[in-house]
Amino acid sequence: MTTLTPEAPRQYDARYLLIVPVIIALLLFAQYSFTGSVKQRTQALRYSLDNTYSLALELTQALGYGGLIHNFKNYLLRPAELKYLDGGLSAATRATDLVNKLEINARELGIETTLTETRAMIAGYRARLERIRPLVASGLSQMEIDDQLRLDDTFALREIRHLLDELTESVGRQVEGVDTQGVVLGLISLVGTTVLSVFILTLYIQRRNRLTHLRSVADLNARLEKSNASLSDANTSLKQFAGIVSHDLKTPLRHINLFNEQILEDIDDKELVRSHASMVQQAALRMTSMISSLLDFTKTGFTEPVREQLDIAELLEQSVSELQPMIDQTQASVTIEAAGQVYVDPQLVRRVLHNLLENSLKYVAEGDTPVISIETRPVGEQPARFMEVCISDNGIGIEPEFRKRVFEPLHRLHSKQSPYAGNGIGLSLAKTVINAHGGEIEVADSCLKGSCICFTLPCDDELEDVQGW
Amino acid sequence: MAQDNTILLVEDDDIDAMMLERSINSLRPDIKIVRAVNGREAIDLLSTVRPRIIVMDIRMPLMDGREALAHLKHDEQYQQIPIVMMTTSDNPDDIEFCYQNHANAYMSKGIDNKTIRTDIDNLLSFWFETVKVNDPER
Repeated sequence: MTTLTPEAPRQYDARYLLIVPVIIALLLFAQYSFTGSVKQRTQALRYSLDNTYSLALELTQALGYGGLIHNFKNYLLRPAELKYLDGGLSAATRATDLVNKLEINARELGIETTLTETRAMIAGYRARLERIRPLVASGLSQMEIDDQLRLDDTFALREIRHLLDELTESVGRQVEGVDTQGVVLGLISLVGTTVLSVFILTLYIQRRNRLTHLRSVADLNARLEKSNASLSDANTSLKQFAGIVSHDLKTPLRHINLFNEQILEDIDDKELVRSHASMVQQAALRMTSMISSLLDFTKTGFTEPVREQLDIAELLEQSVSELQPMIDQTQASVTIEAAGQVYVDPQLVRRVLHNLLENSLKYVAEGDTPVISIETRPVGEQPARFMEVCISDNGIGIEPEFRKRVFEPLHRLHSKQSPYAGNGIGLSLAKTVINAHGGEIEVADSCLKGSCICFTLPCDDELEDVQGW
Repeated sequence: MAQDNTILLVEDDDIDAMMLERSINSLRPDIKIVRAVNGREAIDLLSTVRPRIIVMDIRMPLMDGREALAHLKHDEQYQQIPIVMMTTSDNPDDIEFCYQNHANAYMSKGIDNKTIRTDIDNLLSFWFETVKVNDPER
């Protein structure tokens, strides 16, 4: 049978429990980084869009009345002032630069475009700037020159506005996409965290249940084994018992038969007949007493204990008081030093105590006064599972080599005609009862004089149900 | 030490012992009976007595007949002494145990005087008049 140590599963549990927060922390960290990157990307998009807007504004200025067109008009009005020509040309260069930048920005924001109208307009004005001076020299009036060189800039401006609109829309879409992505990622990681946590918790619970189950199975097995052992013990003692009973009952029966025969043989001799009849009577009495002891054994020894929580001192005092007449008669002194609770069948245990105390009162050397001391002590660490009860006396004692055998069923230490004759039931009954309670009984070695019998009784109901399985 | 006509009777019950002794005495007054009341006493007695046979009961206090039989039959000093188990038990376990441990015979105690007498007569004529016992110690 496998035995489970309770320590090992607990270590497993702790490891399992540690993994849960670690995984949750990792997932939360991942979620946090997703959110961070989404924010960054959105910001970058918005910044880039802002930048494009300011570029477009700058371009409009460079093209419009703050730049190219402004210088063109002024140069047209005052062709002698060459600064307008220079201003116009540099404005055109700046505008071309800005158009390049705008196109790059647009490309970065996802729109591939060439601002053809704008480029054409810039190129147009630049060419026209160069043509003003020859036209002025040819004597044309300013109005005529203006008419000749007029260039419609609305297409270019529309083109720029259109690009901006497109970009705004595109950026909006992208931001939305990134946001959605972020939300989806967040959701995924949240769901992941939850699922994983639930999974690990389920594993942990399953494992714990399995271990609990295993533990309870091991526990049940132990109980079953114990119960089997006690059943097989009971069976063995029952077998032994039956064999010995037949033998012990046959003997007086045979004697009755023999003496009856003798009576018939010696029928004329009154004295002999009286003596034979008295032998018959003795044998019959022995049989009667044996039968009642056997009944007692079968009733007590094979009875399921019905246990309750009891004060050991009270139980001992009751047993002693039951024997008061015998104690008075022998002038015995009995001392009890007991404290604590036991979980036992009071009837059965009282029967055991009765037998043991009776032995202590009975087996004393001639002329001695019995001195009996009963002591209890809890066994092992607190809270103790078992209580040890020791009954020591100053009697004739039990020789070391017979200390184990006195508990065998119907094992007698004294011959039938000895003053100490017993029927060998008391101690084997005590053993059967104590074992049925899960306890042990033995003749202790500690006695200097007399005998000292110690047995253990359960303090709690831990072992109950053993018989029930 | 040679006690050619001694029986060691190992029997705890006084009445049974008396009945057996009476039967033996009436049949063979020359046979000396030494009695022990349990197996241990029998073993102790064997240091001073060398009987021709041992007649032994099974159920006895302190040391029963089975234990004493096993002890004696495993002891070189005593294993040649014939041991007749005479008991009330007709338990097959007991019979098997005794023969496995080299008991020389297993008999039930008679339930009436006649049977007892017949049994003892047979026992004495067999072990004292019929068979030769290999016991160099005697």
